[in-house]
Amino acid sequence: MKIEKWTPTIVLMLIALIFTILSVYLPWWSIRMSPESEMAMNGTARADYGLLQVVTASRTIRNDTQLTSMPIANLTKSQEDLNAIASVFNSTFALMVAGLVLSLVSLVLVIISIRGKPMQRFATLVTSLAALLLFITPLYISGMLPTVATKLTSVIPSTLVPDNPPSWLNQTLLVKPKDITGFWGSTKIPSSSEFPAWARDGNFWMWGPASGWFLVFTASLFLFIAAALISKIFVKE
Amino acid sequence: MKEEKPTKAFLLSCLGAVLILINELIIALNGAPVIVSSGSIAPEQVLSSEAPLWWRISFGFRGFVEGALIILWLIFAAIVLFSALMFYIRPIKRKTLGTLIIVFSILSIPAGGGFIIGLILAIFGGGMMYEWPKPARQTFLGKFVRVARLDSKVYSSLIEELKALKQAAFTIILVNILSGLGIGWYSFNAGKILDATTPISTSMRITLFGDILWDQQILVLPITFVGIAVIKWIILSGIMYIIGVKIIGSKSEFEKIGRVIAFAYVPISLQFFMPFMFTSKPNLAGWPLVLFSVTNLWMILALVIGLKQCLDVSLGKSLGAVFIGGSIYWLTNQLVFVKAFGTPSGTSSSALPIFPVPQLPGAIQFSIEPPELVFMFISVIIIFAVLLGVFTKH
Repeated sequence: MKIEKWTPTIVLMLIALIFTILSVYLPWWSIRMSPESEMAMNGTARADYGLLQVVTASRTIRNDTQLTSMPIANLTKSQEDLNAIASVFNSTFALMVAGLVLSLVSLVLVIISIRGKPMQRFATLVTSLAALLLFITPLYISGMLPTVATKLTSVIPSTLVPDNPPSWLNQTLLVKPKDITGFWGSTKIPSSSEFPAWARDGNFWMWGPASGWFLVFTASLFLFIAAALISKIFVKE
Repeated sequence: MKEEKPTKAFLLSCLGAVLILINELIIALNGAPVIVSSGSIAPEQVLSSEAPLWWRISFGFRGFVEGALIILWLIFAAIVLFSALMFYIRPIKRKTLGTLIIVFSILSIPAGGGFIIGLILAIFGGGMMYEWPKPARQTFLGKFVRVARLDSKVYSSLIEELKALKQAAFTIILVNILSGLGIGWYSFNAGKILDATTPISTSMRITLFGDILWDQQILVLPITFVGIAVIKWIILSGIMYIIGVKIIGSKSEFEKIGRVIAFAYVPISLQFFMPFMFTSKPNLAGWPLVLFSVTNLWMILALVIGLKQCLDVSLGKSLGAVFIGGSIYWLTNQLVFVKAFGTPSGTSSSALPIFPVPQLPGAIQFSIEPPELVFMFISVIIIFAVLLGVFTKH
């Protein structure tokens, strides 16, 4: 089987582009129940934060399913808080779009190089730059989001809490913004008799990056690989 | 020697890297290892002594894939992918790239190792890359595959190749490290589950959620295995030499028999995968027993085929030689090594454990009781060996 030497590079760049485009519509950060708490409570709950500043949340407890989607603005107290949160998401979006545009340009440059025009140096440079931007994007939101998360009124939309829940459930379900001290994190299952012994010491909520974040991070790795390959691919043996 | 195109090594390692990456991305999205189980079971039931047969395979170990650590695993997978692609574009630093692929795919084990298949493919691809342009079947890892496939021709090349003795010694060490690590790690975790003082939440996390505990004492077993492996190898080779050359009358050499025996051990390395699977509490000893039986039977088959080539005898005679030699070896093993390392916990003093496992907490042991049964078993084997013509001169 003969595979053209430039094929893997093009494939990697295309996958990176697809991943980056998809990430716009996918959640970047999510908070969800841990596997232990899901099993202990026989239900699921999660809230996903997207780059377009929309929170999508769902909850299924004892066959009762609730689904809600709302702008992040609905989870803030003041315009000032909203501006602070929006600025993090807007900057992340801008970085990602810049990376996306550079990825497209680099793909065009590689195709031109394949057709015989000596664009290899430009292509390597632009691909490296695109990779760097897409690498910085998820790191930027990871560093910035916890600093503005405290400005939210609640991390999980309160509409998800069941009507008249027992107090222990209400307290457990409503994770407080001050608990979000890092981009990754978790809260423990309370030592309440409502929870089975095997689930204690485990996590109740866990939060961290979601699919969009991971896709952009992976896309940046692919572009780094592509940049390294482009620098070698057109060198005459 | 026919020079191979680098496509095969590239495709294997590339496919391995992609599988490793997919496995890690799924873990990243779930925030937990990928768990495949035999079905749903009530959490309260899984640790009960009357629990039904239930098993789960975890691709990724929970404590190793949580939080920001997943970034590290994704970067490792990208390094494997990069090395595979770089080799295809410019196969000049093949040894460095092959080593990178092998090292980083091994490092991906706590993150699932690309559903295990990815890990295996990447290691074989990396191995082929390291020895490129040697044909795949003649590479060190290529020989492993051929032994596992019970390809008789691989033994002919092993008998002729002088360099193969070094490879044989390396095989013995590698196989015993892998097997010792797998058994040690599984035994330690199974021991924790069986230990009444372990918190139920810890046992549950191992059984249901793919968590795994690590302790330095796990390393005792691979070190012990490697320590005694070379001696055991020489003993088995010596027994087979006496049976093959002195009794059957074949014209082979001790060294050649040794090479064949070392490579026949290859299927034992699969015991490394033991900690990936756990079962409900009453069946915790069942899974290792299945794996031990399969790998040992596989090894015996490889040994029969290998000795047939090495001694230049019929398959029946080779089988008889393995029967009788294996029994003597097994008894020697029990009388020398098991006694030296003590009778493992959980077995009666009259029991003869199949595996000389040092006393790890709750180590999984198998034994044949009573000893009379063992002697009857050996007598039957000797009769079989006689019927197969072992005592008839070649």
